[in-house]
Amino acid sequence: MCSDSDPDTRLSRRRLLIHTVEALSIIGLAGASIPLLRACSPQGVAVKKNAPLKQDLSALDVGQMITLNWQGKPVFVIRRSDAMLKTLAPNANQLRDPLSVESKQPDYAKNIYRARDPHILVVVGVCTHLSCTPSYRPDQAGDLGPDWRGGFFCPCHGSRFDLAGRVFQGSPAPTNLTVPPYQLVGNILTLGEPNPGEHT
Amino acid sequence: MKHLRHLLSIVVIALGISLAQTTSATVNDQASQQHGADLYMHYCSSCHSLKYLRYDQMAHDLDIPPDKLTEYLKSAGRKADDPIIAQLDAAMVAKAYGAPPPDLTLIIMAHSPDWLYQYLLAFYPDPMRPSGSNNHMVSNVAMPDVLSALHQQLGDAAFKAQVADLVSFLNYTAEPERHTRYWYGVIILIFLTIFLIPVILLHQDYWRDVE
Amino acid sequence: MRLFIWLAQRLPLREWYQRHLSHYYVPKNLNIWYLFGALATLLLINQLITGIWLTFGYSPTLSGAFDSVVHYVRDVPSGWLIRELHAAGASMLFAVLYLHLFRGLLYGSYQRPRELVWLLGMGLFLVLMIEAFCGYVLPWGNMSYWAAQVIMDLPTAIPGIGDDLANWLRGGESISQVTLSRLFALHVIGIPLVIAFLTLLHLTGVRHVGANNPEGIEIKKHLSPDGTPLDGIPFHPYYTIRDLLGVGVFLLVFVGIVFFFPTGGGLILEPANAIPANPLQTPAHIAPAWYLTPFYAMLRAVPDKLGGVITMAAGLALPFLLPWLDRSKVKSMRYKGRASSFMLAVMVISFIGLGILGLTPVDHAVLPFIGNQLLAQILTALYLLYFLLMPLYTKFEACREPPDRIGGAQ
Repeated sequence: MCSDSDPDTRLSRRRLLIHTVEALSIIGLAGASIPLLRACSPQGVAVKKNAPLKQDLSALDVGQMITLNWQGKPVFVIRRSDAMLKTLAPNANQLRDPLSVESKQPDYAKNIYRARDPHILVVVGVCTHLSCTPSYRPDQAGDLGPDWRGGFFCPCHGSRFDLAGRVFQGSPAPTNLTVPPYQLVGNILTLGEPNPGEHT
Repeated sequence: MKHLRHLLSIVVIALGISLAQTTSATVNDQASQQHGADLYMHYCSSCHSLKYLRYDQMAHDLDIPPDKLTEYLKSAGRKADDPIIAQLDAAMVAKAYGAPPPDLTLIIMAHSPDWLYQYLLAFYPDPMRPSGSNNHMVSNVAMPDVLSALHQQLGDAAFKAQVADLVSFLNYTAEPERHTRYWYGVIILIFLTIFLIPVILLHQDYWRDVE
Repeated sequence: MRLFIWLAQRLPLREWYQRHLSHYYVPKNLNIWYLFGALATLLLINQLITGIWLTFGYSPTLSGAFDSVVHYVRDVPSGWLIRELHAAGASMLFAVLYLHLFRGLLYGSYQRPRELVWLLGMGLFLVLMIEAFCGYVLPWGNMSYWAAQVIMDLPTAIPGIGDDLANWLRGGESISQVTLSRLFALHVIGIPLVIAFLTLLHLTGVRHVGANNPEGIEIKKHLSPDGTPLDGIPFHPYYTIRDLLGVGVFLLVFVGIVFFFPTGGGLILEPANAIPANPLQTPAHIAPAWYLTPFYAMLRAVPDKLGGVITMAAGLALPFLLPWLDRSKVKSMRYKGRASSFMLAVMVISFIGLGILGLTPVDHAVLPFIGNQLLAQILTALYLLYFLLMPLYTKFEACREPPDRIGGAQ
């Protein structure tokens, strides 16, 4: 390999070698960072995915809300009265997404009631703005404006949702409250995905 | 730089050996581990947990057929994503035999595969002990000779093969990802060897000027 | 490119590059023994990064520590790799450091004007041993627990204040949650800050006085008309490419161990540590990590508790005094007399022998014709004599005159 003779050849050979070493070094460093990046991804195997949560709703009165702890998040369950259900349609023109096009809910909740059974609302109690927990305000309170027919009010930045969890225009929150997957058999509510083979 | 040439040939040889080692992890090993899992579920899991291993993880890694998995889950009364916990209460077993049965997920790391193999073959009848048996490798061991019936049924040679399978299974439980480790190693060694070629050439190029 | 100009206007980038790389003159005859400092720095960075990642998943509680490590290894993607890099990295770091130290003994790198570099380096070594000890306890395996038990009981050997000192260090009369928490804090942040600071000073010291070389002569004595040493070459590109080559070859070894030999035959991941800590049952055979065993053997060689502690302390302290123990007119072993090379060889063999003894169970005789304890005593004495007799043999031995210039030219 007698490339010593011509200094130009030698210089270009040297440059080629430098570029090769640089390129391989960058590839090597990138490769070395892959395990570090991977190690930060969610440890799905360690956490039981979608562990179903069963709750008996027989003791739930009309108008009452209970909060369940599911996968580390609060889930609101409300037995809605007929009067409450009647407030949903008039709200429509003040809502940002009355038909729940943008928000997250299972197919069976993509209706005006956002529920399987209109009288039972199941919604994740996490404000879609910056994740505070909204307060349940079923009353027609004066402090929430003359048009307030009942719903949820988030104390952090003032987002307002109706009794189906749909967000009002003017709220900082961009979408309606999320509805989680659930099954309702009589008075037994089961939060979470059904096991494969089970009836949806 | 003949030293470097020698070094590179050593590297290539080492790569070859490690490649051979990797590919020798054949189907046979998996069959052995599957059978070992079966033995474990029948003879060991009532007392000994594998608490760092889940049923579904084991079934997936060892290709255990679904009906076998259901059988294991049913007899233990557990769900697929549960860790493999012993059926009997540890305190109760400790009272009956004198010591709580240890968890066996990492037992191969605490004792080598050879040791475990010898240990399981080293039981002998001893009327002086409450369990009726003793062990050549661990005197006055609290563990009873749970495999004695199997031993008598099969005879020495076949029994040894069974024990080998059981040890092979426990080898898996201690490190489920062993094969991944080998392959990553081979790939990285190949990359490093490729990397070193321009580095050596560049080094020679610069140092030619220094006397 | 414009970014580079923006930065160069606000930070002395060009000056740094010239001062520390392209115009930093280093002796042209540095050999393989000069690689290990760079490797040590690389390994320290490895320990830091893998250590941070491990801390993401570690639980410093008595009930959670062991399980958290097992879960990290099994359930976190690439967790097994990060853990192995950290454990094997620690062993590699000490192997590299021993070789780095040996270079210092071989070429007299501790002699004037590099005494402070040596002291800082020895200080770093001591601090790293403590860091390694603290780290070893954290997985809370059975060996972790008993290592803590034995080492943190050592201060009781000191008469008078011993018991109180041990209780103060442990945070109680026995190893407890308090102990684990403080070892965790020390290992993760307390000692790493000290290591970073000492490393910075150590590198600054080397940079300031310039590197030594295998001939042990000062290259700054003969300068060219433009002020650069005649026998020096710029660090960049000559030693950057050489260090890169060294790193590449080292990585072949390191990767080989990490992926094909992770337990190190029981030297990296000890079998006894695969069992959770059990205060009621000592492992059949207690030994510290292999890199601490020479000093452990010195401790055990003396049957008296305080005597053992003092002997081990002497074994650790005497190397600090080397710049003043070495009375030779020349630095490098190439020009010292036969006594020096002989004593060095004896010391190295004794040190390795002590290491083997430290790893051996008490009932296993290492050599057929002599008991372990007696052997340990002899080897400890030989090791200590290397230092204690040095003022004599370096002063009176016949040494050769080193050349004025590297390559023998006058």
